[in-house]
Parts: sequence; C-alpha cells; structure tokens
Amino acid sequence: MSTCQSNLATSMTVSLREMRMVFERLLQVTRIESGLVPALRDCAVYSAALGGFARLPATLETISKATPSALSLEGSDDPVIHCGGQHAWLAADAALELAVEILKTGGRGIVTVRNAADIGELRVIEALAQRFGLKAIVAVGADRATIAVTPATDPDDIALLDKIRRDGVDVDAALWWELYHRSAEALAPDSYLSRRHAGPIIVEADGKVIGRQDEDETDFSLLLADAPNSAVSAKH
Amino acid sequence: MTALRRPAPAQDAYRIARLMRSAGEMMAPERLAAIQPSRVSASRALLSHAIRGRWQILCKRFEIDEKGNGVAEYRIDIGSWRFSFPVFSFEPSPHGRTGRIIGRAWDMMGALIEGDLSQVDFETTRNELPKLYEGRATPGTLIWCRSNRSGRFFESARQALTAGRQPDVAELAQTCYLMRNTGLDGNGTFGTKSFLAYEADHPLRWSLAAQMLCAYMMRVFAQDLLQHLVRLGSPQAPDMAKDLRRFLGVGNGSALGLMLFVNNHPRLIERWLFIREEAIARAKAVLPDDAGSQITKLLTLVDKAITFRTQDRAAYENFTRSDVLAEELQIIRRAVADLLQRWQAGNRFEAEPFAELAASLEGRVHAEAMETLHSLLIELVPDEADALVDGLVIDEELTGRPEMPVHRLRDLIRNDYAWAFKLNLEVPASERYVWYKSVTAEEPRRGLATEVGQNVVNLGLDLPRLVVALDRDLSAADPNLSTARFLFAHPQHRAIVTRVQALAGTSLHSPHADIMSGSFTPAHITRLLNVGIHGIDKTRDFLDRNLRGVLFHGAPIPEDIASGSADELWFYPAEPNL
Repeated sequence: MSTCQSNLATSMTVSLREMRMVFERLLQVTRIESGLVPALRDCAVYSAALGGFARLPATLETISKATPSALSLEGSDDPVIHCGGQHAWLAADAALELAVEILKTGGRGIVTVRNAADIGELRVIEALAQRFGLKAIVAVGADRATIAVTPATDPDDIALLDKIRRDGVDVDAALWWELYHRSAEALAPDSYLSRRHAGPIIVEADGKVIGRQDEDETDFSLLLADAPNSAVSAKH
Repeated sequence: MTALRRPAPAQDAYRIARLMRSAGEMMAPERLAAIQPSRVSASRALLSHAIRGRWQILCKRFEIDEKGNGVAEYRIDIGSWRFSFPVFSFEPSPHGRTGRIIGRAWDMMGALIEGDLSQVDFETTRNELPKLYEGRATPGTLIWCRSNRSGRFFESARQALTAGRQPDVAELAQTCYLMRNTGLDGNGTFGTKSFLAYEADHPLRWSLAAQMLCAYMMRVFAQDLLQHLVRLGSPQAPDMAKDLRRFLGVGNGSALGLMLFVNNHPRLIERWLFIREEAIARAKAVLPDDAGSQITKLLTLVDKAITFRTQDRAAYENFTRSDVLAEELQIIRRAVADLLQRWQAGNRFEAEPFAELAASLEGRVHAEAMETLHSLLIELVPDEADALVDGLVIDEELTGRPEMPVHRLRDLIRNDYAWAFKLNLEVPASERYVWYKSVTAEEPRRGLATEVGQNVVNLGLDLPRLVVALDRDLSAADPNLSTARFLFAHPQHRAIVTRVQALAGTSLHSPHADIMSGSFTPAHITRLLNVGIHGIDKTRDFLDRNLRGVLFHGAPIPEDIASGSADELWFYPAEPNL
C-alpha cells in the first residue's frame, strides 16, 4: 500500500514519472542536443535519488553551456575519457557503455574518466549500470574517477529503480515546485493561433466555427482570448 | 513466439506464429485505425475480470443537492482487495467549459484509492483534486479523474424520468452516454502510485486496468446522479430501465496526446498488438466440434455486429459510416453461414476452417469489417485471451547493447525500419508539423512549423528521419566498431540507438509513418488507442484529430456483475425497446 504522496509541508515525495517529466523538460530548456536528453534525464533522476536534488539547478546551468564534442577517448582495452572540463553527466553513459562493452567482450570492464566538472556526479553510473544487470563501483579522486563494472550477484545491487518506483524520492517542497515551474519553459506559450492547433472545432475571430458542434458545449471565450479583432468573446 | 506464461508445445507455437500477421501488414496508420474493439481491449477485459470475479460495487454515501453540488463515495470489493471511489460533484457551469483539457469547469472529480478511505483522506482528496498539477494525492491513490455531463442528453433524460416516462432512446443513442471522461491520471502523476509498484497479486496490475475501473465508476456515478436528481424533484419518478442503463456507457474524448503516448510507450503498443494477433491466431486454429457450435457462436456475434452497425445513429466526418460497414458485414455473414452449413453437412475439407474463412475474406471486405471479424473470432478463445491480458504488465525501460558492432546495428535498422527508407522525407522544414504542448493545461497541439515558431520544443518522435540520419553516420563508421565507441563519437544518436537496440526482435511498436508530414492523419493513431486498445465504440471524428466515443456501451451494471447474472457477450448492444 505504499505510494508517493505529500507529507510534511516543507518536504514532499515525488514519483519517478514526475521526476522524469520535470527533468526532461528542464533539459529541453537547456537546448542540449535532443538525442542526449533521455540519458541526461536519467542522470538527474539518479543524482536526485542518491541525495543530489539540491545540486540540480546548478548542474542544469552547467549543462546549458555544455559542449559534448569536447570529450575525447584514449586507449582501447583500458580506455580513458578526457572530459575537457565538461560536466560529469556528459561522460556518464559513455563511460558506462565502454565499460559494458569491454566486460562483455572479455575485458576487465574498467574505464577511467579525467578532468570532468563535478566529478563526484559520476556516481550516478552506479545506478545507471543496474539496467544492464551490472554492479558498478565508481572510485572518485581529485581529478579522475575509475569505473569498474561486474555482473551483479545480489538482487539488491540492481534494485534502485524499483525502489524509486515504489517509494519515490523525498525532496524539499520549495525546491521541487521551483523546478516544476521552471520546467514549464519547455511548454509553448498559449495563444489564439496555438489554440487552433488542437480541439474538435476551430473558432474564427469573427465567431465562425469550423467543424461539427454536435455534443459540444465549449465556452468560446476559452478559444478566443487574444484573437485579432475578436467579435465574439462570450459563450456562443 | 508466445506471450502466454505457459508456452504452447513447439508444434502449436509454430502453428500460431504462422497464423499471425506481419508488421508490414499491420503498422500503416490507416490499417491500425481499422482495428476494432475486442475482448483484449482494456474496457472489455476489465468487465471480463469483473464478471468472472463478481466484483461488488457499493454506494456508501450520496449527499448531493438538487443543483448537483455535494459528495458521494463508493466501495469496490475485488476478492480480498478493497478500493474506494470518492466523488466530488458540482453544479454544471457554462464558464470555462469544454471537452478539451484546457477546460476549467468539471461536473465531477473523483479518485480511485486503495482500501477504505479515512475522513481525513476524503477531505484531503477534496482539497487537492481541484489543484490538479499542483495537487498531491493521498497514500494508495491509483487514479484521479474528472468528467462532465453531456448537458443536453443528461437534461433530456432527467426531464423524461421526472415526468414519469423513460428517456427517449433514439435521442440518447446519438452519443450513448450521460457523462464524458475529461481526464484520467495515474502512474505517479500528482503523487499517485506508480503502475509498476502495484503488488504481484494486485487485481488492477495489468495495463490500463486502473484507468478503466475509474471510467466504469464514472458511468456508475452518472447514472446514480441522474436517478438521484430525478428523485429529489419527483419522489415517485420511475427508475431508468435496466436495459437503458446497460445501453448507456461513459463518453470519452481523446486527441493528439495519444500520438505522444504511442511514441513513449513502444512496449505497450507492441505487446498489445502482439497479444491481439496471438489471440486471433489461436482462434483461427480452433477446430469446431461436430455440431459446429463455435461457428454458430461466431454467426450469432456477426449478427449482433450487423444490428449494432445498422442502428448506429452517430455522425462521422471521414470515418466509414456504419451503414456501409453493416453491408460489408453481410458479406462476412454469408461466408460464416456457408461454413456452418457445410460443416454440419459433413463437408469438412479445411484443416483450419476459421483461418480459411478469414483468408477467403481478406481483401474482399472493408478493413474495418475484416477487423470486426477478427475481434469476434477472439470470443472463440475467451480463456486464452483473458490470460494474455493478464500478462500485460509492461516495463517501458529501454536498454541498449553497447557491445553490438556497427554492422549488426546497421543490419537491424535496415531490417526493422525498412519502411522508413521508403518514405519521402525530403519535405521542406517549413512544411513539416510540430507536436508540442501548451503551457495551458499541457494540452498537446500540432501545427505547421511556420506557425509554431522555432523556439517551441518538438515533442513528436521523428522516427524515420532519426533512423535515416543514424544509418548515414553508421555507414561511414568502421563496421566492427562497437556501439559504445560509435556513440562516443556521435552522442547525438544515443536516444535512437537505445530505442532501436532495446526494441530489436519486436516489430509492432511503431506506426510506419512520417508523423511530421501534412499527409499524416493524427486521428488514425488516436483511433488505434481509443478503439482497439481502450475498446471505445462509435468513435466520431472531428477535424481528423479529435475523437469522441463511448466506453462500456452495453456493459453490465453493478448489480448484474455482483449477482453473477451479467452477460459475458454484452458488447454491440441493440437499442433497447422500452
């Protein structure tokens, strides 16, 4: 009977779906390449689940200035990723994928990441690896981190996603609502023209209706706000 | 090649697989739009479960004044599980009213909540529900919902009963509902319980079950509200006839958001289309008994469908009219009747008579009539169909294969997405459409790129262009390079590569279409969801993008279900003769 719900006024519990929706929109707002958004969104989810909710606004600011192409790769069997000062999340999936590739093709499954901003955030890889059924250990040093993946042997090693689904993640309510409202920047402004892009009928500014009105009780004022030279502003 | 938990023997599995259709035959949008409601549609599957389990629905309180303001509460017992359905009812207002989700006026709001509801949680739900996006559900809440009365038809029925007579069936049959769903939210939204967190023995664990129970409760409430308001004004007024109560379902309006749903739920789409195909194939493999009772059953169901289509009073825009389909179904009827006659006469030369029947009609009748036959065939294997639905517990997490060589990834793309390479994708960007959400109620919208502007985030999945662009970069890479190393050099492809690899080996997940094109009809995909997957009847189309139809049309009422007297074949109801 567990669920995600509101509790204390100053803190709340948010669901996986809510986090993904808000984080995805926040990343869309950064204008990062769209093909990177789902992966970075999940970095944000796991960072939040691992206690990093409060760091999200600063991380998103860094991501908005990111240059993903700045990353470079050195070596084959024991690769080293040079991040060129880019944020750790930009290297997280790349490092994990390389480690998985090496492990599955007979290697040790170890990758080194150097010169990443906020390098401690590479710990999200410990969560990301669970989707592959793997256990990842991320050892973070001053300017480098080592990622080692091995097959998971304990069900608890790959249970984080289910735990988030079941229990949600606690967050400071003010922070959540700030992020929630900011994520709305990914939505389009409402306008008379935009409202014509959906719905069973289109109402022209002069009140003429395009489409059938059987079983329609629409208050036209909802559709005609800010219409050019609107002649109709109330219910038809 | 089976979705059943207990796989069929290899020989049967081969037989079933052979009778299933390919993605190439099924995944064109217009073909998906032809799929008809069936036993594996969510609303019908819910009723199958309810009838089998004799679910109990009890009204605990109904405190609503003559204007429609007040509260009600229902209890639903499903085996050892109990659920509560609190309702908050409001006087209808014309202000801010619309069937679109931008509406700000609702005649009822409700919630489906696990267990008995405390007074504190009842009040919390009452306070939080109207906040919607900024509200928080109480513990154990599965779904929040809202709906509006169909003003004209609700009032007409109210006046008739108040005057001591039954409502005008012909009038009500234009839409077949008293209230229309305007929103069902769960799976973590507003703090509701995540679907994949439902316990292993949870009766609403299979996909869409919780939403459908909530919709059914809207129907229950709509009829109770009507009767209650009538009685307040006229204590001696008659009950609405039970046949009419069964005939009336709950309305539903859907639109562009379902295209985004399909993009974001490829596994659900794939699994649902697969189990429908499997159920049809299993039915086609049925060998009738000596009396041909299975053929007789099919004939009865085809007759039912013909009557239903003949009596349909709904008005359609571009969808095929029901009288046309009734004529097409007559062709099918003649073929089924002929099969029955031959079978009973001992002329049994087909090894798989139902498969032969379907094959002989394919291409000769309208696609919707053909899909009606397919849906009716599923009723020949009800237990197998129900078992397939129970397996619809779907995890949409997508995981790639970093070790896959580039040449293998390219083979996958060329095989699974061959359709994308056949499309004309050279449409100027200015002539493409953008799928987006408005800041107002997050309403999904679709407009020409030139009208929408460059700063709006395109939420539509441009699958064919993503695949073609990926293939172009793959073709320039070392074929033996791993996917991990390819993505390191081309991180912009990460999302599409993950999707392609995660869905490899399945083929029914994505419509074969350029959804950014002006020639794409959004209503086709809305119809797949509404008609095929949700099981909505009489879906009327508006401007090729909105649909309105009726759920639970003909479904048993709670007392039928509880008493065990419900008709399992309740669908396609004839108009009641009162």
